[in-house]
Amino acid sequence: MEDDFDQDVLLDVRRLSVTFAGGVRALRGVSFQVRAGEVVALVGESGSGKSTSGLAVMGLIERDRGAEVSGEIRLRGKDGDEKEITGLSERELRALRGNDVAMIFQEPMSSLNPIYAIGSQICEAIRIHRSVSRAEAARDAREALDLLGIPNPDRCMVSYPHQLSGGMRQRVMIAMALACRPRMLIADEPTTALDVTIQAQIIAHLKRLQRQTGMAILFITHNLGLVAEIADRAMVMYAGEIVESGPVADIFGAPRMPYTRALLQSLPRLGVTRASGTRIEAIPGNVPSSARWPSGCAFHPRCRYVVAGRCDASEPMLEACDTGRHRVRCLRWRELEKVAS
Amino acid sequence: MRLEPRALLGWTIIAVAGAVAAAAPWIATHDPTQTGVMFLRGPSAVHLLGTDELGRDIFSRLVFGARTSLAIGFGASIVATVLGVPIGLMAGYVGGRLDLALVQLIDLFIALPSLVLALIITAMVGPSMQNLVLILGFVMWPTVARLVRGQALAVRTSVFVEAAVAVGGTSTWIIQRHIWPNIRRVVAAQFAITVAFAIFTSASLSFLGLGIPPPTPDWGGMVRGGFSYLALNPVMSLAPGAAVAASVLGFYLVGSSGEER
Amino acid sequence: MLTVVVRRLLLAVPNVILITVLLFFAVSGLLGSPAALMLGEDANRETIAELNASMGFDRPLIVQYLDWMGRALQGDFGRSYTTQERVADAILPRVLPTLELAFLAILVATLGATVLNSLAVGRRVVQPVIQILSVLGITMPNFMIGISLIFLFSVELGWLPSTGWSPWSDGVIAHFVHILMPVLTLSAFYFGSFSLVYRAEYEAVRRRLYVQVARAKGLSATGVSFKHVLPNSILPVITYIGISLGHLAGGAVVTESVFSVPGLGSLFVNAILGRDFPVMLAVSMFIIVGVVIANLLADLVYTLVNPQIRLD
Repeated sequence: MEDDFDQDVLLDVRRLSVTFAGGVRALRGVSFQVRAGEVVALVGESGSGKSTSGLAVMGLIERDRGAEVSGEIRLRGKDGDEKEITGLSERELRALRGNDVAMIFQEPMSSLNPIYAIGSQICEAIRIHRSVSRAEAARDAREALDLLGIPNPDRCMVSYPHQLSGGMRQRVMIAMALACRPRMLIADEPTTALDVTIQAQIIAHLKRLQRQTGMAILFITHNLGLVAEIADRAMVMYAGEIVESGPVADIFGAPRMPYTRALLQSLPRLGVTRASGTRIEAIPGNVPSSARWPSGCAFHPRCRYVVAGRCDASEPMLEACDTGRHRVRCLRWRELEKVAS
Repeated sequence: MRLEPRALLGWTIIAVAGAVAAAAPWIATHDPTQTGVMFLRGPSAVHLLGTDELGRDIFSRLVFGARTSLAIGFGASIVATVLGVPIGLMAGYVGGRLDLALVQLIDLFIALPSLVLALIITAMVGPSMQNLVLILGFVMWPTVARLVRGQALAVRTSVFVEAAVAVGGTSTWIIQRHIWPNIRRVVAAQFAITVAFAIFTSASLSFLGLGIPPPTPDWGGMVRGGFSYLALNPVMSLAPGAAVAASVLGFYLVGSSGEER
Repeated sequence: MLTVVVRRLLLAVPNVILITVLLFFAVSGLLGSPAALMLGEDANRETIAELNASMGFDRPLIVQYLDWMGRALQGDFGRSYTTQERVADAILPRVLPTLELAFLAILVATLGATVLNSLAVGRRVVQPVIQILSVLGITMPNFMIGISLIFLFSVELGWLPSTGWSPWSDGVIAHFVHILMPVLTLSAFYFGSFSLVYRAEYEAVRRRLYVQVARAKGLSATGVSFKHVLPNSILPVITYIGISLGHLAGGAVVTESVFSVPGLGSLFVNAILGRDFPVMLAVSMFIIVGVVIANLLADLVYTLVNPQIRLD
């Protein structure tokens, strides 16, 4: 199956595990691919490991603070060469960050340095990777702001972060991330901190820019409503593992994993796109802690379809179902197909 | 109560200094003011730290000097606290124009060089023990007042004090029951720090020649006296200097670790 | 921006006037009769009264103050009781050494505290050492640091001259050889306090999201440290420089006395010990007004580097 799209795979993550100092296992053997020009959503509750995945692709997991990273992260750079991120030196990583892959973060209010003007912060991002004059960098920065529909880009260039609204700052962050035209963008909950109307605008801009530039986006969110709106494909994460993945239509139309079903049921109406911040909270219990890791399926303590002696005995594998692009990690998915529908 | 190492070191230094000051007559091997014919001798069995330019026993003067330093340190800190706490409480609790005026005054005083101020006043009124305590307390109260004001303001605007006002508590009752218990620890920590800097400043005054007049043993004065003989008998100035530094360190450590808790 | 500057300047004026009034009244009031001081204890009462009258000391203090202030503004601070030299002539050559000493001490302390702490964060051995040095810097009295340095580098090792001053005209190297220990002595306290202030802020700033954003742009760890973390962490240090200038003046007085630096501080101590009223008054005015002005400057620098205040 994977061979089908091997040629235009941009990001190929294989068996990625991350353990933080203190033994917290944030990722436990995650594998996924993102093709060029594709928008893939990474969905899950907080603590599921979705943000860690984004940081790992950026090479921003701080190994000097005792974090351990294993597995492979292959990224095809702008020059067409494939790079294996976990094996790169800090110097090589720096050349890659912001240039081949860029990231935007959840909190636009604190993502910008308060003491530098917007223009100089975008120019910095440009001049790290391209040896251009200040004037050229400033021109490109202004263009990037213009692209995000910022009303008065010249004025924005000389503004300081505290003079801009949250929505405007997030546009600036996107402009900054896209300034070097990366082929891959990691968006970590880019709209969570914003109010609903602004959220819709930012998503609209992201979609438009994605179409215009053909970049791929790894869209990290806990908001299923946004997934339906922006993504082609979705991957649901639970406790550091991918528990279900497939085209958005499959995930929303025929969810196989009980966890995904629970997530969808926590949405007011199934399959209807909602712009508002729909939170996932309807599932009883919490993501397991490293200290008390359940045996068998990691979700079984919270699962309503749990079968004693089976779900807590053996670990399920991620296996193909339906079309083959749809994959699920559940021991009982075949039986449950009938139960649910 | 578990002490962190910093605080433990601080308390140890204070305990040693306090014990030496209290038991000075028994610890000292000589009369600290008794001059002799053995000038500027190095350490020996008779004179543990040698003798000064008048033949006085340095070790004994060092031991008795602890009394002077601690007395001035504590005295000045008490004066600063007695002045600073009510003024700070008033500014922070009453607020309004009074606060504005007091803050202006406090900030003005804090910006002034306290050592220079202390030098001028000491030069005018003369350096007796009593004067030094009053002068150092006077130049140090603004720091205490500012701290107390900030704390009082924070506590006053907190929910439980607002609730107390709502049920009709009187000012005295609110200050006693709600504000004071909350700022007590901060005031205690600042007290220790004030002791530290009172010892620091009084030793500096003595070093400049405006300390307790001789022959009373006084660390800053001993450093001043020994400075001229640094090459001949370094212990004469280094030992009392180290004693000052250690005492300041002890009170500072206790105060600064108390602040953080 | 301009209104902020003007407002601060306007606020400083009454402060300066208030200080000069307090100082003048305190010094004159506490000192007693200057004529008696000049003539000595065995002078008879008539002579003292005569001299007081001839010098204007019998007038009300407020008149004397206005008179003194009026002359002072024209550069006339009277004559020294002891040397009969014009006070202005005694002060002027001593301003520069003090300013240079203070400036270099602040510079050394700021650079030392920011650079050392930026490099030391997270390092097991270096960080506690710098922390201990900081606490020692704060608690060691200047005279003890100075004497220890003299003992070590002049008496024991013989590397540096123990005291004295070498003007710029005698060569740059000689100048710095003489000023090295005074600068180190005076900077110790500031190194210590700036370290504590800076390190706390540095730790907080390091966790801000824009620091991670800067790394995500592809900036190196050192680049992030010095371009994004340091400039943000240094703001409270600038405020602290302003607050601590009073302490700096006191430290300079002691340091200049230890190393016989011909600055305002040693002039001040000599004037006090010699009860030289005009010199004492003029120098203390200089020092205190200088501290207030420098405090104002620190405020303005803070305003200039902090866009959140500058632009409001």
